[in-house]
Amino acid sequence: MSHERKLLKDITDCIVNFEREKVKEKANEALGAGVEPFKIINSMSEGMHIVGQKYVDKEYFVSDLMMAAVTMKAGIDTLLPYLKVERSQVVGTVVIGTVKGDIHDIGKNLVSTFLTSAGFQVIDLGVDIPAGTFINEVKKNSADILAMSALLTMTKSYMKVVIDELKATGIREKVKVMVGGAPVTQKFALEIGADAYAPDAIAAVEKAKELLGRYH
Amino acid sequence: MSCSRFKRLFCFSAIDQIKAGTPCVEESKNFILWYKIKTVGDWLKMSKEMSSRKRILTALDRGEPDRVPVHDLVEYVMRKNFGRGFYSLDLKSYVSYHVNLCQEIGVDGINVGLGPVDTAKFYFPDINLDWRITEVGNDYVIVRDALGINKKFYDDLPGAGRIMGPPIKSVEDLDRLKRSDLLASIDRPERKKQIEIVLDKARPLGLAIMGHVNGPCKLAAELRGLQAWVEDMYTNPELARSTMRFLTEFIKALAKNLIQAGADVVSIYDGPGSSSVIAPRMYKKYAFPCYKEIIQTIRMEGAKAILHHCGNSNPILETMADTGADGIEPIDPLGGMDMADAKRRIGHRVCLKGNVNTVTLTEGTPKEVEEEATQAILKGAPGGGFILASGNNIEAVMPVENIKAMVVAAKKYGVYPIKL
Repeated sequence: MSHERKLLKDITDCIVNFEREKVKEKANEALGAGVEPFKIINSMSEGMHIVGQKYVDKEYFVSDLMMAAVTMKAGIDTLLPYLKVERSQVVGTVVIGTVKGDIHDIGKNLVSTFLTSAGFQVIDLGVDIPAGTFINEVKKNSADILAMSALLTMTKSYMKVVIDELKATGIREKVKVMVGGAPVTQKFALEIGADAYAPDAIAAVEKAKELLGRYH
Repeated sequence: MSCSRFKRLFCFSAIDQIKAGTPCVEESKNFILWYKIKTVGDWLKMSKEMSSRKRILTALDRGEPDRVPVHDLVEYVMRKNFGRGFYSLDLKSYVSYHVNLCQEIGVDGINVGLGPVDTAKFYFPDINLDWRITEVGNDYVIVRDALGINKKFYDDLPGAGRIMGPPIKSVEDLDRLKRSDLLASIDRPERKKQIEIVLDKARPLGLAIMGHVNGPCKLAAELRGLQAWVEDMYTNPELARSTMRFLTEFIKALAKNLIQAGADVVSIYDGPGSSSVIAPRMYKKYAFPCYKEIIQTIRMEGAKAILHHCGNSNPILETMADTGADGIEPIDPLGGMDMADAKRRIGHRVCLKGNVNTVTLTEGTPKEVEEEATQAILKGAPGGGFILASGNNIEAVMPVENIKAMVVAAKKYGVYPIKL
């Protein structure tokens, strides 16, 4: 195995094993050895992919995904000064947030990270987001997708408020809407007029890609 | 011996005695016999319909009550009805309203909470022990609790508040909290007095007094922030452990207080402990020892303990039973849980409580809720050790008619012995 390939494999392993300090070290080492930053990002994404598979296989759980995500973030932060992402390289732009009145963000954060690792530009608004903020951010960033999350049966109805507001401001046709969260179902997504529903972060990436496939 | 078998046996011997017509030689004997018959007669009548409290306690002993008990926390329904007025409600009106609501819906237990988070702090607004309103907005209030956690509550979205910046950012912060008089301040006579007001109203109605506390995972996630707490468990085990150890002491003190004031049961609400959030290996390493200790305290104080992890608890069901809890809830269908599976795996060790889908409770018709509740009964109730409840908890948006439909199902299909 060449030195470069070994380094990249180590970086993948760091993500899978949540080694935050080591991933920074290895990323710097790889940069020093002249490995191109996008290759390093790819091997980190490969790690996220393995983590996602382990989650599907019920070997990993949400806390593990959270740890993989912070490890990935540490790696990306190390590379940031060396990254020049062309707009054309971005798969799509996603504005994401947990709806007003809801404080839950684990799932939403994971969707953010997984979308980022799949090449999306993600604007994460955080939690407790009112309709107005969602709409302004969608406009400001010419977002392709608006993703909303809710964990409470009570707050998920606010997703419809946001969608209605999108219609009222005349930009509903310009953006695809994805929804998710424990009480959200495919049926509910259809009822409120969303374009897609995903049960978890791994599925969300697939759905987002699908949406843009139809869209472009 | 199962409870129903015991009941039948006892009834027979009592009836035999009465039939035999024991000769009454002396006045005193006569009196004793009459007294016995009278109480046995009463008891026979009573045995047809148990008190709510007995119903719940029998189920928690894994026995068969007269019928399946129903219990859930109905407080959010109240919060919706009162709006902002909820915050200035005086204790006595609050309690009357709460008791009436439990009666109207037909649940067998009434919740009492103590100390500092979520619903608990709203129980006793006029005495205002631990919390302060720190900010009043147009459509929200921000409240600070005893642990120093600020939470924002929207008027139109009653429910668990949004946490505004976790207070524990370092080991030093935790040490400061440990050094504070928080633990000592829990055992105050005012608290017991507050609970006694609830007891005065609810006891004569036969309701079980269902205390509740938040668990070590939920509180740790609030104190440290969820992300930071999860990271602690992986990369800073010492801080994770000491945070949860401290919270365990805190929770034990709250639970003791509740029980000494009269709670029959203490439920430990701990959503973030479920496998929907933390990996089972982290559960075993950090959370399990805390539950074991808290539950031991609850049982030593003479109450029953229920452990609540909403979401997916499939990978940890047996471990949950190993904590020594009397009851496990809510077997959340939204977490992919199935009552029949839980019954098979741990039904012989613990009472199961659950599991009507909260989506059905919110969006379904009373008929749909009744059907789902019947399914839960058929899967969970045979042989006893079952309490009907929602698959997580009652939220303000759920129509009261839907909540009542669970009670309808319990009365129609939950009479023991369960007919399949």
